[in-house]
Amino acid sequence: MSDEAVIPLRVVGQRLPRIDAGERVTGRAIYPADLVRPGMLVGAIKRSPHAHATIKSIDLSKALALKGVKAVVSGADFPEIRPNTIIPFGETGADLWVSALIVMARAKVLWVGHPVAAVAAVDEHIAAEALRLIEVTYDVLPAVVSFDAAMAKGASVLHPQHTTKGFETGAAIPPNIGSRTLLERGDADLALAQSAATASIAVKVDTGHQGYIEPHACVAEADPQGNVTVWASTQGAHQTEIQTAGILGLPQSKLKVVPLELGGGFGGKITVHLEPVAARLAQMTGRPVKMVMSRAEVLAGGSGPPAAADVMVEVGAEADGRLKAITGRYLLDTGGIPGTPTTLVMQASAACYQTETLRLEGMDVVTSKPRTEAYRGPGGIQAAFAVEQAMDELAIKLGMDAAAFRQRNAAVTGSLMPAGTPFPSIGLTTILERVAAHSCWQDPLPPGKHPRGRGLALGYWRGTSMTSAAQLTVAGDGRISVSMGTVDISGTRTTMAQVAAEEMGLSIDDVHVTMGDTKSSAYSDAAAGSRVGRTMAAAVVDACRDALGQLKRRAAERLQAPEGDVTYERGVFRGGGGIAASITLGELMRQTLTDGAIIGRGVSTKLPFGVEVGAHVVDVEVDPDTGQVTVLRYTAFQDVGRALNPTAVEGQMQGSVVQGLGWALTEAIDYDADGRVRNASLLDFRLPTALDVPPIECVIIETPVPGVPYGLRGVGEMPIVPVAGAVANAIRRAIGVRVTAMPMTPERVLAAIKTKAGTSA
Amino acid sequence: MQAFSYERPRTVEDASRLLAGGRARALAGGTDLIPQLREGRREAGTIVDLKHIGELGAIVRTPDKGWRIGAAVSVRKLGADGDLARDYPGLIEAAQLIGSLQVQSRATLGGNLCNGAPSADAVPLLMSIEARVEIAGKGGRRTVSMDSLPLGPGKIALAPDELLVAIMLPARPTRSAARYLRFTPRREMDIAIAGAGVAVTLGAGGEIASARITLASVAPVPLRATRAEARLVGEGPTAALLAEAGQIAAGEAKPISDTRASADYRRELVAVLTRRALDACVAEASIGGATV
Repeated sequence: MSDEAVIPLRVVGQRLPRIDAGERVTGRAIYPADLVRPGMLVGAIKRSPHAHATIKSIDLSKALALKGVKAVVSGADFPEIRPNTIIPFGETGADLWVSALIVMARAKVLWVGHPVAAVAAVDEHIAAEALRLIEVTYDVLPAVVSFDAAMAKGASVLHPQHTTKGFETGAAIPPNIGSRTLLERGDADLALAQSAATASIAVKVDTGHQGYIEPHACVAEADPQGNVTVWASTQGAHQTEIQTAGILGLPQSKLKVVPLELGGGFGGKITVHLEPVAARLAQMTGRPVKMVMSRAEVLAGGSGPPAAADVMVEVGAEADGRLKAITGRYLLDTGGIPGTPTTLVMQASAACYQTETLRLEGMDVVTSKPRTEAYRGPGGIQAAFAVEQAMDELAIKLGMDAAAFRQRNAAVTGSLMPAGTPFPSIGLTTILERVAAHSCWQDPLPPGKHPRGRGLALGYWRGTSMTSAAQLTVAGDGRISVSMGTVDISGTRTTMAQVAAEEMGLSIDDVHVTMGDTKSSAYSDAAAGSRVGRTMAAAVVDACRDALGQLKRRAAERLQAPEGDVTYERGVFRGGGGIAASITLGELMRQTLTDGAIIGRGVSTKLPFGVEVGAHVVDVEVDPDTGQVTVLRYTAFQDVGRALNPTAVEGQMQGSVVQGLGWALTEAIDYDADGRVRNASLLDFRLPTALDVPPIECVIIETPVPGVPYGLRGVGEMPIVPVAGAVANAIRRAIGVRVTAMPMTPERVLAAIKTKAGTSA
Repeated sequence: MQAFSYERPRTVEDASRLLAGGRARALAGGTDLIPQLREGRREAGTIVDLKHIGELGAIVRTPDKGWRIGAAVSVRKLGADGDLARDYPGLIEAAQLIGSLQVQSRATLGGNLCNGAPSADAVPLLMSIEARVEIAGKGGRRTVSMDSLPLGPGKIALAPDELLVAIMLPARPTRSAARYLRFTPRREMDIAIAGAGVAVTLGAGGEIASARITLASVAPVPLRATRAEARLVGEGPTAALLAEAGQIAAGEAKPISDTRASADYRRELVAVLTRRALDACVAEASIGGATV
């Protein structure tokens, strides 16, 4: 246990309402689509109608001649960026070539909806007309939309110059593989052969979508000195700046990115899509340019959806339930550009279990679809859909209770992680004890009209830490202002105000929080990887302590006490004794503001990981005639280290579950064989509504992480990971058959029921 | 969205004249028309708003104990009429499947019919209870069976100068019931991938005296399952018979495969929905169902 976690806290851990709730719910919060600048133009993107084609020619002349059109651009208007142009970004850096190619196609188009040109015009009608006047001629090439098509012998290769890494020398490499990763410990095949019971499953997961309600949008403006400002909807202003500057060939000193409110990102607003195009059009016209995607653009080629997956898993155990082997093959659909990572997904899927042996193989497969991007624990739900079903089936074969089987094999602090290193502090066994004792597991299923079942699944996500920075200043009345280089997702303003209030001994009303732009805030990584709450909290703590050190020096002077004797609590500095024994922070600042600003500097870098673990229990009812699944009850257990704000934590958990239920049951992008999207609307891409989701009970468990302020863990990604597996296990318990395709649509569930009826007849 | 002019006639005659003017479209609730115009799926030079014509907004009990529902009556108003709801609870239920509560404050029965969607939620039940429609045009008024109105997706049998004035419901027969069941993968905010509107009247001996079945979303127009109907008449409503009728209806359906569902799945649903709707109607008709 870390010392910090046992100190009683005043503000951290309180269920405070979001400090920006009023603005959000009354529509006052400003998103890029709300922004209006003088003389603003409207930008629009010309998109490829083909999934794979060589661009023979682009004629912009007719569009440019249309009255009201101010500029037209295509790939030729951006500098050429070579593969492996690594920019500082995330844990390992990112390839700017990928972002640049997503923003605008060059020699080839790689998916339907891939941008080939863009216009800026005085209104949207003229912009739409100008798009029609852009003439692009293509040499259409064969599209490879599915895993099978992409990996088939003789398949059309999307990136002939790409070198596939990770195969053994001399191995036959299928076409269109980005790279291969292998993780092996012990002889898994032998262990499977020696197992008393084994279970295997092969699942297919369709392409989903992050489903953020705000489409991608930005406004860009260039001044006569060549300074460019981009107002963006992004998960990371600094990441938007470095990508946009790189794609434009602009020094970062000439680019400022101002993050406005974010109407949902979930991983899909880290890579830039519109910003470099809007900025180039603004540079060319000298006028502000607004670009807002339509919903159809977002769903059909304009954004990076999460990866489709094809996963095969086999697990084996001794008769007493002890796990002997986990083997798996994970294919992730990277879309039209290679490089979607598989390693973390493979590891995450096996991480909750101690196993004697392990053999996990992962490949990203290039297909004629939009480049895959992150989505809330990227790849986690897809892989857990396979692994958690296999584990459940193994428990059934062993005749063990699903929770007891998992408790028997649960990872503990110090046990080996899939990569072979010891687990840092985790509370999985505590979670499983809580599950086993909870009414959601104990109560019998109430009878219903149709068959019912209860499912359990575990989830793990490593998350990341990277770096965050905060700056704190103290006003003349002792109130404080904290500015940080992150955006508000999941109530970041509120939780960071709580942290600052806690550390400074103030009330939350005494704290002002600013989400800074890239020129007024220091570099912080994006709000992604379950990192922003914990790592920014660490930076804020650091900044508060830095400021308090400076304040104590001033207080010591005023109190005429040795600096080491000065203490600070709840807004009051105290010296050793005497008449002037104390001074309030407010009074100190009134007296000393003009002696110079107090600036607290906080940076957190590479904090210990705040691994996230949890368990979900779900009850479902399955209509055996239609295949429709009704989710009756849902309980989510999660170890969060410490909840900065339990209401915000529950919001993350419930939001994750809702998103997970959507993909588990109804959401899929429907590509035809030519790579065209057949359901590019929220009518036919079926996000769940409030009526599709039951009340979701959240059980928060707090096992602190040593070496992290308050012992914080990541929160926001793990709770999507187990959802589809839990639902699949509940369906299996209800109807006796597994549904191996996700989403588990009514049609697929009915087909599974009929297959079972056919085989048992 | 293109520019159009907007007219607000006060009489049926004025409305007919405006509609005959060419490139005109009738507007009732606008819950279909406005998104269609916005998305470029329909075009209009003139929008003729029918909501300000008195008789189009009225629900009237007719001397023969039937009902005359103005074409521009909102779903919300429909649901608020207690007497109508006692006679045809299934109609209210079906109409309330249309859109959200907010949409229902605007959406109308007439619009649901004239939009010509094979998935229209209120139409199969209306066809099954043998509703008729009153149409006005240059040549005066005519009343026809609802079955004759739908021609295909987005198409209905109205001349350019004609407008739908009212939907006429017959008196509810003794020992009868009518229900509509649809299937959507999502509970709400979705379009039926199959539906069945069923009306059943039982005879004195508990046998099925008449049965009408109209299917949604499995043909270019709402489709009567006449062979299934014929199989039922004169028979006792056993579970086996109702299931068989469902199977026959599934055979009569002419579904397509698209992003919403495969043709095979739609057929499966027709069998299930028809059986379940018949079952609900038989149960309801058996416990009375006399017009109060």
